[in-house]
Amino acid sequence: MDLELLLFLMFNGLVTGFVIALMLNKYEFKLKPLLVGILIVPLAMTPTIAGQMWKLMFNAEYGLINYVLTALFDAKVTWLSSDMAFWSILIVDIWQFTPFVTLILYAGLRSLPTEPLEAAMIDGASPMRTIFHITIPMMKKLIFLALLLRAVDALKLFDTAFVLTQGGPGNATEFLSLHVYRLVNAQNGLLGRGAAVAVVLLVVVTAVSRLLIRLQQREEG
Amino acid sequence: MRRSDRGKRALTYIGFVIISFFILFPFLWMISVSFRSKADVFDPGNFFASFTLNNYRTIFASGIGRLFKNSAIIAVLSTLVSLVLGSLAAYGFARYGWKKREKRAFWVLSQRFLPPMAVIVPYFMLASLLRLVDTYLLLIICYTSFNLPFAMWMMRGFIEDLPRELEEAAMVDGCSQLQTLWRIILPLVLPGMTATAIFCMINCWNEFVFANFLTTIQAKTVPTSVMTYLSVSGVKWGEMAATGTLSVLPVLAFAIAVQKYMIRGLTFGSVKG
Repeated sequence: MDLELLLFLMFNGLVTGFVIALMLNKYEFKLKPLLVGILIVPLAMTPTIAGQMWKLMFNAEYGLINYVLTALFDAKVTWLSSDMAFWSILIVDIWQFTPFVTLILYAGLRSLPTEPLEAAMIDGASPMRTIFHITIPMMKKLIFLALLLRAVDALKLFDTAFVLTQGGPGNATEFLSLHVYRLVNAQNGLLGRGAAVAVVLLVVVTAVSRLLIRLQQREEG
Repeated sequence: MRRSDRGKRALTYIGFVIISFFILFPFLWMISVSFRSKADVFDPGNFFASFTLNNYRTIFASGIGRLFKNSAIIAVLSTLVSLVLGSLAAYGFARYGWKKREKRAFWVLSQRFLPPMAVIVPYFMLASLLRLVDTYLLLIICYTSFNLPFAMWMMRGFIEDLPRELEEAAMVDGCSQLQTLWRIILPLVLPGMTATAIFCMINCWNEFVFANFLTTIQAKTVPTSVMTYLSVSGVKWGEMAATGTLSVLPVLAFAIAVQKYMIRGLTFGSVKG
C-alpha cells in the first residue's frame, strides 16, 4: 500500500510539477506573482483543516463534489468508501504537494545561468531538445532533491489520511504512520509495538532515500 | 510575434487557468463555508445564501488571537535560525571537500526522515525532564530540527549551482571568506533562499503533531485549535473554516511580499563577477 502510494505520488508530482514550472518559466506576464501566490495556497492551508474541508467536499450526500457531479453528469461517487478512499487521499495529496515541487523547480529554473540556453537556441536546438539535453541535466541536483523530499513526505503521510479516513474504512488507507498512531494511542497503549513499527518505518524511509542519493551520486560520477 | 507562438501562449494561459481552478477550489470553498450558518454548510448549491460573520465572532471570542501570536513568534524565530545556520552549513558542504562528506550530509538529512509520530513520546519525556513542556523554546527547537536539514539541503543545491569562479574572483580582489559569502553568494542564491524561507515558514506554521502533544495552554499554536472544533455533537465546520481562512492569510501575505526576491534571479546572467 505504502509503496504503491509512494511511486505514484513521486512520479506524478515530479512530472506535473516540472511541467508547470517550465510553463511558468517560459513566458513573462503581469499576473505571474498572483499565480505563484495561488500555487502557495494549498501549502499554506493548515493540513488538518484542509483535510477536514476535503472531507466535507467528499461527503457523498451533502458534498460539493458530488453536487457538481450530479448537476453535470447525474453521477455520484462514494469518495470515502473502501475502494475509493485510497484515491481520495491521493487527490488531496496531489493537490497539496504538486505546487511544492513546482515552486522548488521554478526557483531552480530561475537561478540557472542563461548562457547555455541561449547557445542552444542559437545552434538551432528545438525546445524539447533544449529541455532534455540542457535544462534537465543542469537541474539534476534539485530534481533529485525534490524527488527525495517528496518520497520522504509521502512515506510520512499522516495528517491528511488521519483526518479524512482515520485509516478506514477497515484498514484500506492505514499507512504506516497511522498504524503507529493507532498502536500508541490511549485506547490501545501498545507503546513498544508502536515504537517497533516506527523503527521499521524509519528503516524503509532511510533505505528509499539512500537509494535515491546513490543514484544521484552515480549520475555525477 | 509568430502565429504559432501566440497559439502556444494562449494554450499555456488556458492551462494556468485550469490549474489555478483545481488548486483554488478547496480554498474558495473554505472561505465560503466560513461565512455560512451551520445549516447551510450541508447545502452546497446555496452560494452566498446566508452571509454571516458569526463564525469569526465566535473564534475571536474564544481567544484565537493569542494562538496566532504564538504561531507567529515560533515560526519566525525557527525560520531565522534554520536559514542562517542552514545556509552556512550548506556553504561548507557545497565548497569544502572532506572525507565522508556525503555521509555527514546524509546524517543531517536523516533528521527530516523521522516521522513525528515515532519520536513524539521520547521528545515529551525529555522535555518534561528539562521543564520545557508548553514553552516557545521547545517548539522552536523541534521545528528547527526538521527545518534545518531542509534548509541545508535546499541551499546546498543552490550554492553548488553557482560557478566557483565568482568566489575565486572575489577572493583575489581581497574579500574575506565571510565577505564573499555575504556580498557574492548571498545575492545570487536569494531566489533559492526565498523559496526555502517560505517553505520553512509554512512547515512551522502548519505543524500539527508536535504542537498538539507538546503544548497545553501557553504555547498552543493555530493548527491545534482543530481539536476543539471536533466535538461530540459534530464538527463545527463554520468556525473551523474561519480559522483556516485566517491562518492562510499571513502566510500568503508573506509569500507574496518576498516574491520579488525570487524574481530577482533573472538578473543572474548579467552579474559581473
